[in-house]
Amino acid sequence: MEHAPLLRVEDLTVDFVTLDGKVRILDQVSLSVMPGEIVGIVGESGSGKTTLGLTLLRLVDSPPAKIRAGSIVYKGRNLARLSPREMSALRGSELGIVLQESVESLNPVYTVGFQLTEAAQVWSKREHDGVGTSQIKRRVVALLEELCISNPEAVMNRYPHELSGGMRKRVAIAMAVVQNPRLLILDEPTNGLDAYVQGRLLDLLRSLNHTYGMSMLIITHDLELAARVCDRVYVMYAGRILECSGAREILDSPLHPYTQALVSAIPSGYVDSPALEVPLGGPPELGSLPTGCKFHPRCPKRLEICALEEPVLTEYLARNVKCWLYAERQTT
Amino acid sequence: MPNDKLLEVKQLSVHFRQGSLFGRKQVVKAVDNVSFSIRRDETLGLAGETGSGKSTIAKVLVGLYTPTAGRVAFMGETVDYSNRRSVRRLRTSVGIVFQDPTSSLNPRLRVRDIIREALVSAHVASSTHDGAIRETAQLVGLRMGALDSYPRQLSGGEKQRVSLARALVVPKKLLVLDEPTSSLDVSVQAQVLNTLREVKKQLKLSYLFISHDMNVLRYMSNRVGILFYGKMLEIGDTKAVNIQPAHPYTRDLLSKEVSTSGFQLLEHQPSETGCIYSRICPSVMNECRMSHPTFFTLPDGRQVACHLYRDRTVSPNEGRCYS
Repeated sequence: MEHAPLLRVEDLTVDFVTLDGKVRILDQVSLSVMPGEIVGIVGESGSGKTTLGLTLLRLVDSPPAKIRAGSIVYKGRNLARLSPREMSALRGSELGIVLQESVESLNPVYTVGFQLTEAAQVWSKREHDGVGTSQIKRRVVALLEELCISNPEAVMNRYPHELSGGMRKRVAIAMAVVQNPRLLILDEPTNGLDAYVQGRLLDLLRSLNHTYGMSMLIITHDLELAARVCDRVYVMYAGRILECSGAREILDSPLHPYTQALVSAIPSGYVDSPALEVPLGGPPELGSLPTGCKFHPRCPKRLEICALEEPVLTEYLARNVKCWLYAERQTT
Repeated sequence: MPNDKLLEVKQLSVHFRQGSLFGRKQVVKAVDNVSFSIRRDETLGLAGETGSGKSTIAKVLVGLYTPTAGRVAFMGETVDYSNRRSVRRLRTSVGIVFQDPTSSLNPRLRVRDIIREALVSAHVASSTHDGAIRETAQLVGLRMGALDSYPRQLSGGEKQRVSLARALVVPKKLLVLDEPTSSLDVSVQAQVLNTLREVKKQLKLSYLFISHDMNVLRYMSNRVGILFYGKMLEIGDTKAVNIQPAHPYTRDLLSKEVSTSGFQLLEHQPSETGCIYSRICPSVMNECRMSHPTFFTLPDGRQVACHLYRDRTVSPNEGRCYS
């Protein structure tokens, strides 16, 4: 039983520096992914979750992005310090990513088969000193079959635009998986897919996780979805982690008022049920954040201290939450 | 009460001819023999995956597509799709909000003018425009400052409110909502859904609410219809459908468990012969391969197109045992 996390991010702080000034996108983000674990990152748009995913693979352009502080430790190496060359050796082989727009990650002028074989060749050169073309093709076909593509050989001859959204998403996932990474980051894997395909895709991710022991970091705005497929879920708001809990607890008994708001915003009940409780307003502008706890202007449970001082992530019932309601110095 | 029905759709079919210039033409049955009705003050939900024909139905109801066969009657009057006047009349009473707020708003117009276009095309006297725009913006919860912005300056939720205001600035009887919240964040979605329920109550509207999200449909609709590749498989009271889904497909749609074993086909393939769902159905029987079932009415008034219910003694609960 391994107990060391596969990936440990500590106090990661990222600024976007532009001519107009600097904006803090991530502020002291800490998280960990254990081997074989599926971890979710949930937040509204603009919470910095996509930037986090890209930063872990050092895929954000610098400038404007700048890692101010913190470390990204993967298997004992700090990714924040690696040279571009060392980093690119890790990408694909150890760390895979499926971008939000799967369309954009596929080349429109090559067939799907060509692109998948290309990725598989990289893998085979690395791990097996290159295997035969027929063997590579067999591996790709097998993988596509596993991803429930009913006629893989025909799909391989098609171009990305000829495939449906769900199919493209799976091809993009196949391209990442074919390289057999230890950690796969998926940014909004079910975005734009209908509920049915969504459900099947989650099944698939789960079974990939089972068969290959692949760790996953799933970035999504859908808390319900995250709770369904993940083992643990981090909740992000304004570039900060506000809560970290087990997937079941986060839906059943959310701690942070923000998480509670996210849960209560999931439509429930029938047409005659009372209106959904929603926090007023939208996510804050990262350029002009409020003082104290960043959620306090929208928080229904705010205390006096919330506007004055930002709480720290503290342990509560073996979960982590960044809220004065659960801090020891709570005064009420 | 027959005149209780605001909209009646009978055996609607929309077929498209598809194929390359030289290749053999293929007929795609986007909507095939679908019947439903919407009462006054009612929300009918339509559920189904991509390609089920939900959006095609929406477009027929606002006159953007012409049906291949079937009858659409609005307020007791049959719509004649070959007559421009008749289609125009339909459009003045039926509004639509599309899924993608970005592509359905003209990027070069200010919000105020986007909403005004609806008034102009309905020949509303221009002296009343500003008042109507302001009132509608208030109704749909659009902040006044947004009226002078361009769509790109607005958030997704605000854009969807603009679409809603444009649809409602000329008073409507029926609003067709085609996945109005599927591109929004959960919290924004909740805000927009609340607004939609509020607006419906205030204006006494009827909705046709299209979504693939069963949570949203439950929250919004009185009755719900389940579509699969252009065919209606089940239609009835939302609660009944959710508590005891009758059709195997509805059950599949409602199941939320993540299974780690047993690969299933990710994309559904409709069956060419027999029941359209027979290729995937876990409860498939011999007759399912012979013919597509007609509708059977369950004791609770629901209609199901499934051979399992041919002899009406089978209740939905017993049907569950087959799977």
